[in-house]
Amino acid sequence: MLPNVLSALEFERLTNASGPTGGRIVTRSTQRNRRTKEEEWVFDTDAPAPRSVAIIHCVGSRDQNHNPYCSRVCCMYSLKFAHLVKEKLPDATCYQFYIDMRAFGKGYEEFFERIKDEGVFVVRGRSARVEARPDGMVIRGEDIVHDRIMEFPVDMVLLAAGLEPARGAHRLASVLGIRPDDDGWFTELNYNTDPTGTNRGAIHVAGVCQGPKDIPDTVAQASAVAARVLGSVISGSVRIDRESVSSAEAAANAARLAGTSPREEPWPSEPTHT
Amino acid sequence: MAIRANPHLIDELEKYGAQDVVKCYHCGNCTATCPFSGEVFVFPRKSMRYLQLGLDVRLQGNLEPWLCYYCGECSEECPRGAEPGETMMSMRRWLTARYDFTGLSGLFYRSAKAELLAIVLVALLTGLGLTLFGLSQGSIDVYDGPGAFLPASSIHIFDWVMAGVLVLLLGINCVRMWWYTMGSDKEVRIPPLEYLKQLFLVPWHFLTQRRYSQCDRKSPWAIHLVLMLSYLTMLVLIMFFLHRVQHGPAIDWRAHAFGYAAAAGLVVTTIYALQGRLRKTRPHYQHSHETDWIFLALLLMVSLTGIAQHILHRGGWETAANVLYVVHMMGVVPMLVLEVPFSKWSHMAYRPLGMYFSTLREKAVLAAEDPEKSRPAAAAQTA
Repeated sequence: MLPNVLSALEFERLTNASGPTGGRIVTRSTQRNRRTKEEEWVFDTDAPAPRSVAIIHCVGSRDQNHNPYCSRVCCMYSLKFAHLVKEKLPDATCYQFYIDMRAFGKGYEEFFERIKDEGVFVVRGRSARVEARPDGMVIRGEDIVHDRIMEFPVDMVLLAAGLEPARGAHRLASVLGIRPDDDGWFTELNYNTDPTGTNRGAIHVAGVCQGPKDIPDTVAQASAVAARVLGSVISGSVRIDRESVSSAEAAANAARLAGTSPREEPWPSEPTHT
Repeated sequence: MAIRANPHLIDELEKYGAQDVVKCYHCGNCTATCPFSGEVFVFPRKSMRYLQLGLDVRLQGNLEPWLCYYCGECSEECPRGAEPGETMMSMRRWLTARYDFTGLSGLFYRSAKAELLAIVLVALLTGLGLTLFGLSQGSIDVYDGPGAFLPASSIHIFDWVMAGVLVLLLGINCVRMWWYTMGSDKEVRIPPLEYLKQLFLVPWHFLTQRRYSQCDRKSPWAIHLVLMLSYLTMLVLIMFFLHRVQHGPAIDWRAHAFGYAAAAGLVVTTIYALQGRLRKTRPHYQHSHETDWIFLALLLMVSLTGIAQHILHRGGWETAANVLYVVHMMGVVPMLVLEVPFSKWSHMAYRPLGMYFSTLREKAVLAAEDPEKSRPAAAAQTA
């Protein structure tokens, strides 16, 4: 519908040096497909660059109509996008529409400050509308800090879409016997004291399968898993924290390991994402 | 300027029907969705903020609730389920109570029991008064002409006295509204000439509800307009042509054609609204305050008894027509006396006035503002 509204992954690919334009940020333009004889929207290296780019945060996240949780990574990758836009197109104006800036990691807040120094306009308030008009796209949002409506034309809109479990994650969980939570993420034994263990003692979780997280957190969790696995290999046994595994789950596990009875509790149904 | 915060403001508003105001996390989705929020009046999110902060003085001077027609798009889009649309609706109730100098409005909105009790009381007094009056000067078996139980000429005088009292009460409340929203504001001064120049806006908005028609959804506007015009037609017929309407058994088509159309409009729209509220078919029918039910029930009852007495009279059952006439008045009088100055009907004055005041204010603010500032300028946006 709106060719120049891009998802985060599309923009990531566009700005990549091995992407369709060799890393040049351009707007989509129509081109005639020689084979199908139809006009299609493509990224053409010679197409004009966007003069203004708006980045909308929290798309589908923290929203009871979609995903109730915070996807954790979008704020920072949105700031990175703004940085990339400013680096590659210094004359383009760049806007961030955000609800809360969750720059919580080491050095993240400083990065946020740096983005503002680079001249990115940071608007507190999520934009709700992007409209196609004859003369281009118009974005509309509320600037909460200055108490006014922002409505102006933009050439490109980037959606910081939230994270959802991969298709097939639910099936994988069912094969492995790991319980997914209501949102579809694999559940750990105890978020505070055993963040990598699962109800299947020998199976550990690391990374985004357990919940949205960024690269440093994933690396840390994966390192923990590696250490746990090494511990198991060296000791030749699997340690299951009895206090963390409820007795019902332990019984179910024992039954599963013995290959006798299937699960007693109904398996959680797959979350339906809209 | 120092502002006192009222920590119980949300609790207070909840009695007027507000729900889930605390859930709002100020993303601004509702404001961006609303087709009415513009350069000067940016809503509804800001009102949610006032509520959360307890700024009742700010809320009291706020015209924004009157600019909202509750299409419900903001509530549908709200990521938190904070119901901004219903909050605006309950703020209109709260403002009605604030504008009212007697305090009765607040009492009725906070307690359905009090309102019902008042309705019953006024209805009984009306019934008793009219019956005694009728018996003292006429016969219950005569509907019109000499010796009529309730002659049109007497009811006509009664109507005009009642209208005078109601206009006075509502007028005082309107002056209070002006003072809270315009008069007491020292920052925005509007010259009296400007008030005169834009005065046409009041009847314009009253009759066309132009602004309602600018909502993305058109059907609520159409329904509301039909209801309002039917009601207005009926009011004109009763206030100016009562003798023609009441005189029978011949049908005076010059008056009755309007009467029938208005009666049909009233019955159809009230039944539509009632079943909409029962089945919650639309966003603005999701939450119903007790006053909404009372309002619709009274209106339907009044319409149906009015139609019934007309049929009975033309059918020749004059005694039954007289009894229903009294019952009809037992609905009309409480509906008008209690609803026009103190409850839901009062919006027929506050809404057009709200449009009028907001237009004046908007012009004044935009004229005073530096033209550079009104554009989405780059410098101010960097946080």
